[in-house]
Amino acid sequence: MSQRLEKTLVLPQVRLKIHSGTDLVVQLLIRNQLHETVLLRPTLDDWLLNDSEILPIVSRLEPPYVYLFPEYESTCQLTIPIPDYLPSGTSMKTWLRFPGWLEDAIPIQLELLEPTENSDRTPVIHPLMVTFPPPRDSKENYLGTAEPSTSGIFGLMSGLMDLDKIPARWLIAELLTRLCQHGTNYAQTPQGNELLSQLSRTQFFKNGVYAFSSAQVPAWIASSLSMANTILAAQIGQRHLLSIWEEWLFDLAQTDIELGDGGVHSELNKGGFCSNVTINSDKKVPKPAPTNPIPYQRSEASILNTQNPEQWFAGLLLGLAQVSPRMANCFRAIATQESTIPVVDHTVATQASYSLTTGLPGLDALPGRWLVVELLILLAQQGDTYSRTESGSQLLNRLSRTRFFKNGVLAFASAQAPRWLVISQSAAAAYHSSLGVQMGQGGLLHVGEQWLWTLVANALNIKGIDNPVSVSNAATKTFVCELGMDAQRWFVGILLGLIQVSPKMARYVKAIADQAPPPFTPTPTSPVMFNDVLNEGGSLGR
Amino acid sequence: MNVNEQVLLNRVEALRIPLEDPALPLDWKDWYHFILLDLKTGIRLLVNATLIGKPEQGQMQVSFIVNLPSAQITPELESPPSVATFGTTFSLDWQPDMVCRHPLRLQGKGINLEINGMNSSVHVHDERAQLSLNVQGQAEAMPLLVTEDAPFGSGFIGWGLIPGLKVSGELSVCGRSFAIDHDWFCYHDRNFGRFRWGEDIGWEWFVAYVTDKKGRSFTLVLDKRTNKNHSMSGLPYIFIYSGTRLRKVFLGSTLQIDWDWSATASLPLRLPGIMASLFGDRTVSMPRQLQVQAADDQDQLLLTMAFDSTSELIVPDNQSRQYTFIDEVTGAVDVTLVLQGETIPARGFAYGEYVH
Repeated sequence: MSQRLEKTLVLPQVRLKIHSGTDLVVQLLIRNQLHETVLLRPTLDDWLLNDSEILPIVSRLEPPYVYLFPEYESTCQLTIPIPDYLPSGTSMKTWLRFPGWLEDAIPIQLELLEPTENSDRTPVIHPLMVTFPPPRDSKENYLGTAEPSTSGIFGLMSGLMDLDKIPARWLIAELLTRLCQHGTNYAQTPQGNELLSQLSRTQFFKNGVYAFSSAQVPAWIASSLSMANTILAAQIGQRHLLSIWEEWLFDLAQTDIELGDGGVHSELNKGGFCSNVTINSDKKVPKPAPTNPIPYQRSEASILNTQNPEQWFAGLLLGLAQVSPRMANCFRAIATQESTIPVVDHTVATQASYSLTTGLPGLDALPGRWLVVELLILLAQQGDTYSRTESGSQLLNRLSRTRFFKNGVLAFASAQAPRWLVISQSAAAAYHSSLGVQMGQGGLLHVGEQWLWTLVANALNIKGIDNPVSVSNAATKTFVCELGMDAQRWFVGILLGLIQVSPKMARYVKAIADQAPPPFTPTPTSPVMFNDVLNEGGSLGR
Repeated sequence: MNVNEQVLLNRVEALRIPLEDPALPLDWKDWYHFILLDLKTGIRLLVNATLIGKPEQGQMQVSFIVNLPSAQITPELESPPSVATFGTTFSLDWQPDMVCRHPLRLQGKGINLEINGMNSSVHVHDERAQLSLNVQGQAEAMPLLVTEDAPFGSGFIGWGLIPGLKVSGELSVCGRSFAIDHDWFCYHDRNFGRFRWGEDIGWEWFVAYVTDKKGRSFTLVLDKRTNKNHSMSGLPYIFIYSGTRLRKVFLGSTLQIDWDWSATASLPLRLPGIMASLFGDRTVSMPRQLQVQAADDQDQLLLTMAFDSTSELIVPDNQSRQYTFIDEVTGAVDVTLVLQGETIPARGFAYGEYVH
């Protein structure tokens, strides 16, 4: 998808001759000419020596993050010690990257000189200015600049990197729209209609509508979507983010990703997967149609054309009730309890709308990956829990014997998705804690759900609210640590999480699971008992 | 091998011990592992060169094991078909000039190992054991970097493999020479990481090289990381190469791995000698056979190995009195692969490890 960018960026380059054993200090001056706040953490690739050998890079970054409002500039300093054992004449290359904001990298190329006789080894200081967005060259083709080593890492990673470029608000807007669409459809059913008519008589509902209208949520969603559409359309065509992910998963069932193109060349070592390769096989699970094949303008006309906050809020509530049984129970409890206590509580609504107004612009600052990370971690947690239930483990048992499952694990492992998740989570957590009060105890989703529950009058005691599905930083950290770099557990978690929120996905995955071969008959465990050597009484004091 | 694969190959081969780190911890390990098999003669051999610790406070440890049909070494004796196993291990104090990073070279008395891009050369020599190997190789198979930081014991392990090198050279056993030509199969892998021998660690691994009646060759590589008593494991997987290209992966619960053990405990061939005498009174059951079954919704694998030679390497930790046991096994292997509806029977030899 990234290949479709048409123009190449004009980025600065660093070329230096430097004595081995000295420190290179890159003084970065970063300018933000984007219309949104950016959060940056520059990184360096490992050294490439003489275009062949890889050497781990060591570097220090001060300060560790740069947070820049539009039209502001700031500095940070990267200190890179140059090893002293490399011979003079060695060519060393690394690439300076800005994950989340720039897919291209700034090459830093050094040629080593004899170690300096000067014992104090004065560091070499090199100033470097980077502007966001970088200027574009109108002539060159984007692919012309891609390094061979990085151009091979499209695939899942490119999906993830594209998310980096998209501020969280667009994704939130898309998710909210989806949810509302879902809820609006549910409202047409007898059960949905009944729940809505009950809820609409509650104070909770009135508070929400009031908050939505005073924070101008529908307008915010509409403008976010139109921005997202304009920018995304140029890059990834008319496809929506979620449908890209969905398609990626669906494609996993049709093939062996290690087989690659025509069985000759494998994509595995490129860290990706072949989404378009299908192999003739009788055992095919029909791939469902993309969730949203038609452009936004028509398919979501019903919800997008309305600026009616009540319709938005109702859609959102019912959508949530649909995807989360726990939320559904909470809403039912609210619906039945509230109808008996008709209290007017303006304070709650005012507070809620205040926190929503302050919360929404904050979303602009966060790159989409962080939100996606939270969603994925949340999904993974739900999936992980589900995998421990009887029905979950039965499904997983069958699913784990299919190519779909193997492909997913391989794709996750070779795209280093677990590493991406772990690193993003820790960056997001560090950022949240640096923001302190505003983002509070947890991630974006946590803030979102907390906000929803502030709409409920304090007098109510709804089971489940005290134990929100969203995750506090501490819980997320524990979970992320537990899963670590285990590609299998991440894939299982996210997959099982997805099938819980998407009935279509659930049907599809079940159809795949039904194709699994019967399990092997378990054999008794090895009869060999290994002795505990250390506790053996033997000679030589062992 | 395309450019991307060559970059990956360099990454697989790169020495990982951070020599420039003055606080380099002593539990660092970095090793280069080679297996050579000849289907015609049935000769199989293993070379492993491991760096442990750091210069001046570490060792370079070399293992060299040769298995060959007895008839190859004593044709004048009409002995029943059996396999003779010769082996040596030696440990050298790690002097700074023994290891060069660019291009990679490990050298010391009895060992010279060089890797430069796709080209490698291995020379191992032990006069007292009357064993020597001199072989040049060129990487052909698609390299795989499987993991760089999988949790292992108190630290981590990383590994990558190049399951196919074109080789030529010479092997000498007890004064008899054997030419190594392009028909030989050579497998190479790399391991690195920080952990301590003797911790609650283990693994099951093999490489099998088989050919079918149409002359096609397949390489199968198993990896399963475990704890010491193999009651718990990470995700097991088998890579199946067709020729030099990766063709199929089975992983997780699509795999069933069954080791069959000798009914009676006996004293195995043990290396190195000093460790063998330390554990001289310790008889154990050794692996006798191995069966692996695998099946997903399309493809299947059945693999059986009967071991004709086993030996036990004892590796001690370099800081406290604890050990890990590496059971090296080798033997003939029968494979039935079902790939996209085609049933492929194939035969060959395998080398494996059961580590506990």
